[in-house]
Amino acid sequence: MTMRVSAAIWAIFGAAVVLFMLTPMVLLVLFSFGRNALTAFPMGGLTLDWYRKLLANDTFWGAAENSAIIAACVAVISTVIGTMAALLLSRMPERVSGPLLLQLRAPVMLPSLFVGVALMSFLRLVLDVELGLPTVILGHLVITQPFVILIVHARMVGFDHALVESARDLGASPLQAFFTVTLPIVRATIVGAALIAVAVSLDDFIITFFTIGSGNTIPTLVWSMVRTSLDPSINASATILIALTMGMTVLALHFSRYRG
Amino acid sequence: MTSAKDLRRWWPLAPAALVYLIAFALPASFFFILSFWSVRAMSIRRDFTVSNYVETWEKYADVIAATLLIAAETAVVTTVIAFAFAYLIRFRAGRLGLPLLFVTLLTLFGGYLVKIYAWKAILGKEGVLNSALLALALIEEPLTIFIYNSGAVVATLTHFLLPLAVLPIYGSLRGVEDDLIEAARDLGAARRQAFRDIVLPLCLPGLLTAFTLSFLIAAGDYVTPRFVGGTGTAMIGDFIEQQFSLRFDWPMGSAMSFSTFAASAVLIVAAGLVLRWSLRP
Amino acid sequence: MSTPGMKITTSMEELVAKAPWLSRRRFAKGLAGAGALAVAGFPARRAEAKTTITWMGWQGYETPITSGSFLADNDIDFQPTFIASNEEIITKLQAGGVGNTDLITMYFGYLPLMAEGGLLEPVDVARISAFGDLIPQFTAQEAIKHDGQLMGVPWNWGSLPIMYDPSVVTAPPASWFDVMKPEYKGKVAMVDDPLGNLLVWGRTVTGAEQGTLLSKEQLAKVIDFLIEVKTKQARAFFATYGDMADAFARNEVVITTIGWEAVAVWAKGKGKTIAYSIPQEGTGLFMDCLCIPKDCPHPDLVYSMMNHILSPDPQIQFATEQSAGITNLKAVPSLPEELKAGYNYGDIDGFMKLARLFPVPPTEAGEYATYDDFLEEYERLKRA
Repeated sequence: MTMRVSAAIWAIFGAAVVLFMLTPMVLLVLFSFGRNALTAFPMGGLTLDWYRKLLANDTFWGAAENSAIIAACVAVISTVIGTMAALLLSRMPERVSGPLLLQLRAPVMLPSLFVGVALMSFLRLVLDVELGLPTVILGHLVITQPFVILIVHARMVGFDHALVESARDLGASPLQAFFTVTLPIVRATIVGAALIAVAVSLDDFIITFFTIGSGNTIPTLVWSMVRTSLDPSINASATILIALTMGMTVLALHFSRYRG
Repeated sequence: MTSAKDLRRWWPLAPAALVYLIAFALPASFFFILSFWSVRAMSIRRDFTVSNYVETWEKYADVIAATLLIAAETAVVTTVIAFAFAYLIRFRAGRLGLPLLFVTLLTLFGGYLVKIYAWKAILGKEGVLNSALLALALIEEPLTIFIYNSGAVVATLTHFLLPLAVLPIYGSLRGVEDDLIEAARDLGAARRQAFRDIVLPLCLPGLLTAFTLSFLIAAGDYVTPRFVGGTGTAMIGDFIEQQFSLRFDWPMGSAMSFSTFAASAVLIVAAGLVLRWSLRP
Repeated sequence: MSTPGMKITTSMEELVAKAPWLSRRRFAKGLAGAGALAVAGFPARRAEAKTTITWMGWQGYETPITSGSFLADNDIDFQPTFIASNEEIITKLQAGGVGNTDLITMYFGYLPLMAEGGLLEPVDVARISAFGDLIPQFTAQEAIKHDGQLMGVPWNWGSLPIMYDPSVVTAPPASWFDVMKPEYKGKVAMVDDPLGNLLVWGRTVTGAEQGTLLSKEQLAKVIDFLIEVKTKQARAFFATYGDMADAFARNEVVITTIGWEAVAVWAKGKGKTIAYSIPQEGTGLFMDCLCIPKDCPHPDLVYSMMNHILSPDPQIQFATEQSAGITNLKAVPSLPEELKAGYNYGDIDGFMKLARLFPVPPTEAGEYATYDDFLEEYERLKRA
């Protein structure tokens, strides 16, 4: 196959995938500005009314606040402890790390309904703990952790640990070695894992429903509106979310100093 | 004999292990024990019985199979596209790689439910896809086959899972140093050979992660089929939910959850073996 | 190609030069910041002197509570949890929600189940000021009592009519079996509402006087019929009524096997006019009740809240917004005309002949198939 043809095929493929990924996102954002309460064409003119309706709703602000706090904590904590675990696991022989990794995957292997009910029952009936944001964070940690660990671990498998060894030989403490040698190289992956942790946390409504006690997060609010069939104010909330997370992503990519 | 120093080496794993223990292992263990109990007249009886598992096998084996089939379809489609796309970003796109990565990350967000509704607007009888096809004169009447079937479920789930799959594979590919490939080429390897023998094996962990995550999330998902699936797409999660709520039968719900877990595990291990075998250098 | 050793030392210097921003100190600061944010978030809620009241119910059902100045007058921090199905409330209460939920709204049919499961507190009728004004046929129902005590207060109601698109289905369907007509193939809407389906089709298929008290054979016949509809005629088996309203608006369906007046309101909001009627075989009536979960943390405030919900103004507001039936007869005269007519307040007995309050299948095995038997059969429908 000639270079030209192969390049053309890649271009078409790339364009197709981008189209596939972006079309729903574009529609989602577009419909938030349409007058038509049905998220379909024709849109019936443009309006900001859905945004006004959303922002005037107290329940939305409460939910947004909760979502923000939970996502921030989950992002930081799961990235840190997940990366720590992944680093250690990647230095172990396959026969030790293999089974451990399989174990760690388990929370994602059971339906979130099960995880949510089990966690809530355990917390309330066995430990007699009050439900609230901390318990939601705990629930989210247990399902985002596997993502972080698996992703960072996958990256670390090809990593040349000799680099770290040399740094240690030169006198660096383990922490210093991490920050100066390991982190810059795997920074991009860790950032990607953190973003996934945020996305998973922001998306979860099942485990949140069971572990929050009272109050809402944005996804539980959207889930509740499903019964009254979703007007575009949820598109408005999704668009706001996308704008905020886009900003986050830009920062993240900058941090990771992406280089082809 | 493990010395103190040996044990201390494990400390980075401790926080993650703690979360895992408290928030998952202990509750799940309790529910595992629960799955061997039974419910009679609204109250739980602590007798040991495997009847729940037997019942699960007898009544829900076909649903579990159907669920895992859709999950497998979704996972395969997602992993293949994700791999090709990640490869594109890493090796072929050059400066365009960053925008492509950005698009991928963008698609992660917005919200699971809102995206499902966006797909309804695309696949419906009066949806965007039909409108486009009509405008291009490829069809004469709107087609109703795009939505309310398992194809729509796979498409919607794939869209949701693609970013989650691209990122680990991309991470793996980044670990493939350009030097290595250069060296192989220098030594006379054809491009395809370098790809097959160097790139693929090295990104195996990423591929496995992508496949596993896609498969598991799809298998546990029962909300998507409720909205874009038709009349034949009930997934096992739906039935598990009924056991936990209306039917007040937590032991049965637990048994069903663990059965699905076991079946998924078997499939994943099998898929892993197949991947490893086909990618052996 | 440089030697590995050289590469490492030079790259270390490069790296150190490039990454000073991510020094250990900065990283620790970042963590502390996130932690502080988290900690700051939590006590913020407790710091206020307000009482937190937790409520679970459908979105839209909380408007009577938030209407007027009730919440402000009583210094209440109202925390609603919205559900997408009645079952969610049951699961949550069972999993330990008991003890931190104050008030719920529940479909009357599940009350016996929940009472037997020990999830509810009895309601002290004396403390419900409007109790005497509520529709007597509803408050007299056995289903909302358990061991002689009242377990819930009816506050809104409606029926399950057939819904249809008048531009396609030009006359109100005479019979529920119209859904089997060939011209509706692939355009029938079904909803995954187990009890709702039984309320409509129990009597329609078997002719039994009490559509929900059936033998196992009769139950099987009902499900067999529904499976036929599902596999031959249905466009989709919708998860919620809201989804069905959305489908109407997208012109995906034209007729239904089950219904709820509110669906017409939602469809109208999306620009689609649909109509509803009760076919000759009749249908079921539903009631939603206010119930107090066991170990309710703030019983006094909850009783005030219930009285507020049942008072005329909030009832009228709710009825108009949701196109719902209300139970406080004192409020009815002030309702808009179409609502008064639609719900036939003047002749509730007559309405109840068409739309009946069927009892829920029994929990104990006996003459009739139990509720669990029903759910067992219903799963066949879900699997089809």
